[in-house]
Amino acid sequence: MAIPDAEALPEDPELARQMEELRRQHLMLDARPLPELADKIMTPMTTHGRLFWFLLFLFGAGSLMLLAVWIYQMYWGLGIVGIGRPTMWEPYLVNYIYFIGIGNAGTFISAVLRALRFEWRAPISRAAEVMTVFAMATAGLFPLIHVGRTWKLYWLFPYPNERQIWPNYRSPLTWDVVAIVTYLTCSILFAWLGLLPDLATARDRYNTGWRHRLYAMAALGWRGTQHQWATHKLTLDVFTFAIIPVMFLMHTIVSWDFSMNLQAGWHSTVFGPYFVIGALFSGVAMVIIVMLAMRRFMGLEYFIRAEHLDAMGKFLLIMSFAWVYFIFNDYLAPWYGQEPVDKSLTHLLQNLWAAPLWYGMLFCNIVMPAALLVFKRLRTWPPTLLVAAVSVQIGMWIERFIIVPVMMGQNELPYSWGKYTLRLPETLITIGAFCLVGLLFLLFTRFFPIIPLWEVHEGQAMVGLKRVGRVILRTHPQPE
Amino acid sequence: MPLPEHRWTMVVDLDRCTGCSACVVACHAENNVPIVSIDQVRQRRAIHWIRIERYWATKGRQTRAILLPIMCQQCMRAPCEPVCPVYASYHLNHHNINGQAYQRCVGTRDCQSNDPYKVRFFNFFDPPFDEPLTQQLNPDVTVRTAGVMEKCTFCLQRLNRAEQKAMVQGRTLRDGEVVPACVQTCPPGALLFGDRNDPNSQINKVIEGNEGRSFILLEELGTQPLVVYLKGGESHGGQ
Amino acid sequence: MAEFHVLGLFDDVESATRSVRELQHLGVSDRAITVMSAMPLPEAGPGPGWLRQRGAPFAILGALAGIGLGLVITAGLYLLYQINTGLQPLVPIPTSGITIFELMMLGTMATMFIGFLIVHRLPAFGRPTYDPRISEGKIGVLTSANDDLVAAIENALKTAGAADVNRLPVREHDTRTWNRLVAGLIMVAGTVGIVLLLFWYDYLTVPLPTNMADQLSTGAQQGPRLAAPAEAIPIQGPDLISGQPATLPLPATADSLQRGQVLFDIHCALCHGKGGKGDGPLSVYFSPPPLDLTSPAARTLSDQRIFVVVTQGFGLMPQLRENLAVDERWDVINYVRSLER
Repeated sequence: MAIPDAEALPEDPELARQMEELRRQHLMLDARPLPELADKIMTPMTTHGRLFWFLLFLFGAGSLMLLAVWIYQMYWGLGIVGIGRPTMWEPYLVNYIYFIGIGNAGTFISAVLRALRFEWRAPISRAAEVMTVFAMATAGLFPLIHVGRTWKLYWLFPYPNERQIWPNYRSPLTWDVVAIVTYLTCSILFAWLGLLPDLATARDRYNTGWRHRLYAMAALGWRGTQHQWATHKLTLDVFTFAIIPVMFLMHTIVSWDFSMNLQAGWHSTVFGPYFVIGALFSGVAMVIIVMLAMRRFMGLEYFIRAEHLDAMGKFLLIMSFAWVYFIFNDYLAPWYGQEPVDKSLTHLLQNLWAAPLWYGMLFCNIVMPAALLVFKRLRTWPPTLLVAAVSVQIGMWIERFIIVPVMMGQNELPYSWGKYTLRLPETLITIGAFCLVGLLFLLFTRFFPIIPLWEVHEGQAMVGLKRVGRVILRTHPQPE
Repeated sequence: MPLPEHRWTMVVDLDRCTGCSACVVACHAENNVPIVSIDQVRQRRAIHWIRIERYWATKGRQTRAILLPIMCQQCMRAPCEPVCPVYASYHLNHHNINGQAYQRCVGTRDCQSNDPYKVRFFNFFDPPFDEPLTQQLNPDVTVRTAGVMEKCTFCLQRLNRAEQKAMVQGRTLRDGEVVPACVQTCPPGALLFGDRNDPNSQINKVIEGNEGRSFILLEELGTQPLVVYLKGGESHGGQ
Repeated sequence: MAEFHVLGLFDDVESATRSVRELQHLGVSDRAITVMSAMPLPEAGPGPGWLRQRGAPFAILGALAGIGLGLVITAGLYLLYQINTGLQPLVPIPTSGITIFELMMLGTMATMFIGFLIVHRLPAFGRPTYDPRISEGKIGVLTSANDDLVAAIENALKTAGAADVNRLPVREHDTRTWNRLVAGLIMVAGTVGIVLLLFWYDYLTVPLPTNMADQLSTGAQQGPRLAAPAEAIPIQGPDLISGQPATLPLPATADSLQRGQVLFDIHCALCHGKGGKGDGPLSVYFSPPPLDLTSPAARTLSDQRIFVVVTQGFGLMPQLRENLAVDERWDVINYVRSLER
């Protein structure tokens, strides 16, 4: 159906009630005409309430703060950060892992769930994908901030030069560079590809002014011919299946920054999948926060319904269980083996100054999700879902903080043990990074439609309700 | 004529080390190692390419200090080398020393995190060399700026000069002709230096003659360092 | 024969599909029919197999390009410019594999996207035929025809149930601007590449203060040196004592030479010999023997150096600061210089 319409209600009141209930619950069964959907999605782009201006000011100030503190640090040297021997890696790397982790979940939702044909992901897939792009871009800043001589960092790219020296691809840090370039480029292209039909709609909808010029340029002249749709679908399929291994490999490469290291506590073969699951865990929590914000503040309750909150809540809970599995794995072996340096690390985490961090992390990542997300009534209530997601964010940031500066403080030779002290510059830069992601996302929602209109429309056209006798069945066409 | 390959080895005799730290001072003077402020020392940023680690051992009511001079172990299979993304840390095949190219270092500090001996140091700020201290600097050694990693190089500048002199004179290096600053300075002679690839060198005789006493730091990590320690004190029947 | 575009807008798929059949009956070729919609409708078209997939070669090409680049920057460069890093072989397979895999994926996806643009000549300049109502849900069936068929086509579309039928002038897809855009991009990329190569091969440089090229350790010993204290005697190099003449303080007059000879005979001749040739009566007792003051080695000594040697002594030679006053020392030096001639 080109314009799917909600099917007429049957006369039988019981069946009518059932059908209405199904329509209320499921976005894909509650078909509306395309212009109405376009209205719902595109109107928030042009409305600027007080909250928008407040957030714009706040995030903008935070991003400027990031830039200012970074320039200050580049001028005075890395000594203003709380690092020293042997804790030479600071929260900049924690943020690096953190933001790349968030990015991974965005691709998971838009690519993996698309490959598995989970239709419910449709409204949030673009927000997730875009969040990936902005989180990756912010994460890409952190190697620059972390390094001692930022202006020489172009040496990590392979280019012919007079000294005939090239980067060292045996180092995990150069794998990082290649992986970030690959993942960021492919995420941007993936997002743009998915945006093309909606940009065409926006171009047609706003036919004058700077918006029209912006969308006309960005839509690249998309007309929606069947040839274009066929190539588009093929390209999207290739992207979907190709970006999934890149996504898994991205955070695995980040984990290899640590597991390739002889540092005690890092030299663990389980770091690869551990980090990937951790990334999905924290990323899903971030997508939940974004989803709830979109729903509440952009008036998108039509698109994001209880079923989406339910599905994402379940996803978060499953990720929590998976994370428990991996963290148990990671700490079981050293605890069991009782090597002196591992024993000292375990002692540090469980009994000494790092104990509040350790137990806080376990509480935030295990207890809170389990308590709040097991029951459906709680799971689909936005405030509890938000609290669970925020607590997971905090817990995962603490987990990476434990891995990077805390564990670095202990190694085989006790003379070189040290404690990392959190100082103002890295705190401000961390806050600034969150503000930067928020700012980019906020600006995106004003310029581009945040819900994939064509995917929702296609999904609604594909899924129908059929009444057979006294039973209401959902129909799906056969996938090609 | 290709130059002979050396395997420069240092022997640290723990029986003789008194903890006087003359080696530390000599290294500072020879290699333009900066002195950092008290504040920075409290933040564990002191730079001492060779340092005397002191551990307290208590047995009953007796406590004694165990002194361990430790410098870059110049590992044959150095863990700090493969992780440098820009080849600032690499292996000098000719001398079998772990080289650090200051000009190439971008300051990722991955080498330090990989280094189990924690003998690599980072310049957090620009090193303060006020006048007229600049007159004391060794012109053979680069003064590093902020953001660059540094570590002991077995006084590579001395090695190179000695080898150049030998080459000019048409001979090979003689045993004992070149010593690092710390070895030169050590009053009780706890530090010894030589080429293990030279079969007649003094260092070979010392190591072979002390097989019962010799050990390598953190041998189980497989880094194959070129610094050999000789046990001293109680572990060898001494005080 | 003028060519026209005829665009029919339909409200649902069935009528659009019907109209396509009608057009086929009229003899319009499949390739001249374009169906435009706001969501993919693969079944609305002339028939299966009508849509040829043209994207696959791009993916393979991109993958191969990525693998090639990966092999070059890992294996190729390592073998060309060998830098040993202790632990690992020169071309380790696992680490090279990671980089090669990532670049292969990048190549695949980037070329697929570029292929998508190339196949459809996007971005489309010249505003090809389109109707904004298509993005509101209508389905557009577009065909081109010349004069005689136009009316029949319009009729066919109307009978199939078109909501609107429009006859539009032909506006071709503007590939010329597209070609110019691509050529322009290639030229810009080439220029940027050349400029970068100039920087990378040090034809253009940016002198950064942290390049450690201006060294504190050598810089302190270049340029203006610290002034020596007054009355210091420079031994080598240009005279830097302020206020002192650059040459002998006492001119070599006949008086000076005569005084010098007398003093030399008293104080110096015992070892250095009467003629200064290092053959005095006591010379046999010294090893190394006293310097032959007429030798080339002695000629290279500066006046000031001889003054310092006489004052402080040198090796086995004793200091003579108590035997000779400052003026007397200069007289002796004048005489020694005259011996050399």
